[in-house]
Amino acid sequence: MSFMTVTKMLLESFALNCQLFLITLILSLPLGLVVAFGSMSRWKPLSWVSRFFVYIMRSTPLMLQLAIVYYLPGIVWGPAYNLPKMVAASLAFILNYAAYFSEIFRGGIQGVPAGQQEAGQVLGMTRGQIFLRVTLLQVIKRIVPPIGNEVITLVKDTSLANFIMVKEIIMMAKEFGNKAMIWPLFYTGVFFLIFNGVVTLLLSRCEKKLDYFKV
Amino acid sequence: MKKLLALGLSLALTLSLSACGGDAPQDQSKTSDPSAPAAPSDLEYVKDTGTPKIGYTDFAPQDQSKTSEPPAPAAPSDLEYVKDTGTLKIGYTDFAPMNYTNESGEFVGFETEFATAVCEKLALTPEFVEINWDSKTMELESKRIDCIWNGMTITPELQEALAIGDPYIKNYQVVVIRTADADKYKTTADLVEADLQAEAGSAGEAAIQGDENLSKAPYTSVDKQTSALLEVKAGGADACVLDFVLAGAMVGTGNYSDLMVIPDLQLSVEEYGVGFRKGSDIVPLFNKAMQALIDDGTLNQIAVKYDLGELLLANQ
Amino acid sequence: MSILEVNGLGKRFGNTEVLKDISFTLDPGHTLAIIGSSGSGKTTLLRCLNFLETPDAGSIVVSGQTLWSAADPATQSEKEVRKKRLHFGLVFQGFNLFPQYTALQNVTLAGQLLAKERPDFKQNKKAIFAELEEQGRALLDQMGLSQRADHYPHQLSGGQQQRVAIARALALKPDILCFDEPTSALDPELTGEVLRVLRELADQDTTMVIVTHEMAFARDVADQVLFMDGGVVVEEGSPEQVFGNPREERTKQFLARYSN
Repeated sequence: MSFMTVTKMLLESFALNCQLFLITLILSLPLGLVVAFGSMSRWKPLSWVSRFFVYIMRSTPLMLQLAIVYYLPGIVWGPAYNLPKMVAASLAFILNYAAYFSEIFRGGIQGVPAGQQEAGQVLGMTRGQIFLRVTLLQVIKRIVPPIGNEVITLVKDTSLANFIMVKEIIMMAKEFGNKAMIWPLFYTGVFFLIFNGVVTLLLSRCEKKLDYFKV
Repeated sequence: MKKLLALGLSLALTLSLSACGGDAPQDQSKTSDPSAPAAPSDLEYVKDTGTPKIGYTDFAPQDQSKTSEPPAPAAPSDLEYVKDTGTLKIGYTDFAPMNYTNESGEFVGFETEFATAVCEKLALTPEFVEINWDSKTMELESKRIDCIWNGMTITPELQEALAIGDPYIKNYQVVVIRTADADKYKTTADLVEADLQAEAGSAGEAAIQGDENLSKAPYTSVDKQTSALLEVKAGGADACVLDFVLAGAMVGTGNYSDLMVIPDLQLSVEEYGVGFRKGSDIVPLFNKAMQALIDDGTLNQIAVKYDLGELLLANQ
Repeated sequence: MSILEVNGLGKRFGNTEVLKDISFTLDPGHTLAIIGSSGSGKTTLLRCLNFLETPDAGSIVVSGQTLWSAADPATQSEKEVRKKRLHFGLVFQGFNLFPQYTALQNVTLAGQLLAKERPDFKQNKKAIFAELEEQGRALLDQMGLSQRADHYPHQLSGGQQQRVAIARALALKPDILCFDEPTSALDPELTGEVLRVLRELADQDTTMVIVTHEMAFARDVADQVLFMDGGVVVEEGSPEQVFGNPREERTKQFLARYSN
């Protein structure tokens, strides 16, 4: 098989990695924010539930979460409840990453000194104005580096989806391996390097944009 | 709730086991041409290191005496469920010659054609579903598939976990000795002090290392199975271990007419079976359909096509 | 008539009574200096006046209007608190400038947000913002910071930051401007520029409540001094009286420690 053919086939399967990456990122960030606010809620039951969710998602392997989402509904409720591969993978990834993001958000929000909020209050600002005009940008500046770390990890983690037979790039490369072609597996590294290279560039741009002030 | 907890636990357990568990394609790699010679430079490399590094996956030795359990009637009936859907979802992993896509892009293979033929007999539409071999039991239990049909080696553990149809392929290793030694070597216990040989990295070598008695004997690895046969013939070794297909083809004839296989001694017996859900009532129908395919020669035809004719249990 | 009237104010945190029966009045244009050792309740008192803490007892009356009273639940509604805060301004010990805004933006932000509540905001947005900016620049000018209007807080010295904070508080034209140890976070060589500004404000008859450890400054600038200890007002009077001729033993001890 020619280099071009392998590249094309790997690229096609890498589209699944990208798809999973985008879906996870787009949905887990807002969900993470909701969970963060839940964790910080003064209403104890909500805070407990949110923190328990974070504990579960962060304390168990993503692979196990994939298996649970993929197999358990069918085992417990029957085949009608089996989720399609990509849906199951997305769900597990979104929940897992939302938990991590929520902790980053919580750290970022709680890391803003109370004095900032109080300064807004004594200037007659509403809670919403304080959040949007005072706190938010400081939170964003604080969380961009840790979020960036997670985003880069997410790109690589999408490969775990092959555990539930999502034919992403590593799985595709392993199939080449079964056909006695070893190099495609190592070649996949190039795809991740390029993708994360772009991600890293975007992140450093983001950080640069926020460089004009210090928190 | 209890059921859920049990399932969750077993899921976690299966996962942790599968982390060190086997991979189907590797289990069945022994179906490849046994006489294929290793590159000489590789032998030198191994001799240089002094320790052949033997790839393996963790699976228990097989018990020949066991045959598939009579399936207990499942409630509700698995057969009815499958008949309702009209399709038999067949779990497989991609590997030649069992299930694979050929160069013209067709999904073929011994198991692929075998399964298709059985489904025809059962009036079901086959649907091939690629699975994660390590979670095959969960694939079955979640009803993402209805059977595992992928050159699955029957192990006691799998017999516990699944309902397995009658075996259809059998491969094993045999011990070849000089005919003159027929009385001296009858069991593996007799071979504890004999000089043994096998091809480096072969299933025969694994059989020696896996056997309680043979593993104690002085052992030399050689670059190919036929070299071992020659050594035994020349007296450089007392016995060699190789797979029964090659032994059957060569021993006792031509160059090797003064050699023989120790009768009734089968090592590393591997039998392939189709796995269904535990207690599935599809198994008897599968067995019947398979028998019909054996009787009318179809199965043999498919096996020969994929160079597996000698391994077909019906031909042994 | 006094502009500020605090009657029997009390506050506890759990079992600790931080403020006990605090009462005083302040006349318009006067400066009240609150002195006392740390933990005496001075800061909590300021925070109660700015509704950053809710008192447990007593009342706060500004220009005859009861802003908060323990006896009248109607005055305790959370909804009104934002408007009530505008009677006061507060300058923090740690400045609490908004780091992502320039000095000028820090001064004008709150005004811009409040302007949005004006009925004529939509029609006159440009004019309103221009006016706010002009006003902000004037305030910074008054603080001696006209050259620093477009600097971000991290580009300013502590003394400059505190002067921006003062301008920010003044921008909303509060009835009473409160300072919580405004020079405590500053290097000694930078306190002078802030105290100079406070002195100017006092000269312009700004009504101020200043919690401070700068005794010489308090003696010099304040019209009225309050010495607090253990959550109570121990002594109150003119600076001459409190500093020059303290009646209470505790006041004497405190001042003796500070004069050393």
